[in-house]
Amino acid sequence: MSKTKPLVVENLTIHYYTVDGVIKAVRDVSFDVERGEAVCLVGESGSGKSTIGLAIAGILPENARIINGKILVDGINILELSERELEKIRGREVSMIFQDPAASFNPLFTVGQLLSDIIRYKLGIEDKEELRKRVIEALKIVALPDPERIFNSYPHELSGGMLQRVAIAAALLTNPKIFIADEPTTMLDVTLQFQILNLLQAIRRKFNIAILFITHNLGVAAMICDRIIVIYAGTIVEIGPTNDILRNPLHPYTKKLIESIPRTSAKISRLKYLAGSLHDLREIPRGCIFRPRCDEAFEMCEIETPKLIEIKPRHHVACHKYRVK
Amino acid sequence: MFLEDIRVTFKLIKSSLTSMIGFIIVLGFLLIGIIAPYILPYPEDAWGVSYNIEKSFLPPSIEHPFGTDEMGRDVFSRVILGARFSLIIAVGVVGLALIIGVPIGLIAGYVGGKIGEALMRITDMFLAFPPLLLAIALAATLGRGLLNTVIALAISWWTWYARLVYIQVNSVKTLPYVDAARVIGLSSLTIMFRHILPNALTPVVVQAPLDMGSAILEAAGLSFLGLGVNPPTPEWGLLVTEGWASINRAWWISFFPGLAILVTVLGFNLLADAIREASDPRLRRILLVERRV
Repeated sequence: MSKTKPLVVENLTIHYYTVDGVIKAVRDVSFDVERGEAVCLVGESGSGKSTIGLAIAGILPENARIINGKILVDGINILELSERELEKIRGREVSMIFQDPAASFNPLFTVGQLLSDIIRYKLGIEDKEELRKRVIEALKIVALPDPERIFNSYPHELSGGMLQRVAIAAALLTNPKIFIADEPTTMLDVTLQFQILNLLQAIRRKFNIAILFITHNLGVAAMICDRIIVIYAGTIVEIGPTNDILRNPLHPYTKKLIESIPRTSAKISRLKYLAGSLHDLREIPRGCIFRPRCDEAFEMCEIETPKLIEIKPRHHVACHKYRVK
Repeated sequence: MFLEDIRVTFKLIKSSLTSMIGFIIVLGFLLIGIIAPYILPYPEDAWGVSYNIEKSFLPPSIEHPFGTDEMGRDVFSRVILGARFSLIIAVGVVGLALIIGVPIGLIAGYVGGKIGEALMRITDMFLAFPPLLLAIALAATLGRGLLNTVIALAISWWTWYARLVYIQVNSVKTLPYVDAARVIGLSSLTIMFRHILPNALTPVVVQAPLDMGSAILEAAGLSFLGLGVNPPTPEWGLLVTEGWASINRAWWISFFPGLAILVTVLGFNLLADAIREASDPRLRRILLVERRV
């Protein structure tokens, strides 16, 4: 039991069926997350990072199809489960928090009612006092002041930062093994971002929960994650330990991403940015999909799609530049 | 939060004369509808079981404020009792239509796919007929009677609620809190009834009272055409028909039931307008400032 990884994704391919055609949003993505490890999926808007998160949580939109691949949560392929079996696994194994905390709560119920519901349905506890005790305990874990008051508050009475804390508390109620956080700090201001990240870090240490953190912000990724997965146009271009990736980025895309982080120390007159835009994912070209935006592209890049190769221990990159001939 | 809504709605109603008139009319109608059998000056006339040929066609007087009909029955008593039947019809039709329409819209919207498609196409089939025509056809098939009138009208009516709920469910079910509920692993039934339905009902709550006025009107129409309730039930539409033959001699027999229909439907429309104003948060804020309440 302790040997199985909380999350293994194998060859995941997801298409969106839209009126304009089939968007091949995620293509052949494989990675895993160890117990208690924090892994970041980093990529720009539309790179497919959120789609991967939604697929693991089992809440893909109706027009999305999983074409191929496996998602093993604690050794069980959740793509083979029926809706009923999924309901059991959800919450118990996988929890998720979302970008917009204010929209993540049903406005008609108090925080206490909503959180009690989760415990009642997932753990079968009916006793009102017991429910209340557990919810308040969870609110204390996420360092919310005055949990008694928050228990009786409606979502609109709380601030975004408080609600995100409540969302984390809600996700923790059922002792999940893996926690998916889809840009949980994007909607918050900078000081709150820092607090929420610290909170997630503390919770990870305390409960040994694996975290899959989805973000477009490398700074956030650097703060919280052990490993970074860089995703571009639906495929993984680089995986590696956070320090390695930030100090020694291998893939040209990762390099440019890191260069484009605004720095206050350097004397530069203009911000660096990544020219061009994401490739149209309806038609996948032959060769490397990053080629049109890449300064270092050569003939090989037009012919063959690069595969992930291990350059250093645990550091993989998908670029022809590093092919040893 | 819900109580707060009611309080603000009431504030807004109080601040506008027309809304207040609507509110008072509807309140009066409900009150009379409930206590009608106990306040009738001539109960036997009202139920239509007595004949008084010597008192027929008396014009309005203190003794008979709305006059008497050809059978010598007190029109005032009959109109008052008619309020009860109109109330039964209004609540019955809208209630039955909600009972049919809301679950269909909810299931079609939440489950989607083939089942949803099938349910909505059935709804479209009903929508293809003009509502009153469908009600007339159904009433003619089912035969006369209070219950049949309610059923005929409700069947021509539920489609609107089904559509309304369907559209709302479709927009509510994509909200993050529904996703959040799914991720946490709550059952579909819980999500449907606890997280989606309550948030999808707002427009229905606004629509339902408005429809009660229309239901009264359509029931009166059916009765007027001879397809509604059985005589001598003092239903307003039927009362209008009964006075129709002698309209030249005794205008009051048709006039007063007609006036009752007019006032009641007007009251419902005015009140529904007020509720609609109050249910739109943006409009509500503007109105609260404008009317300084």
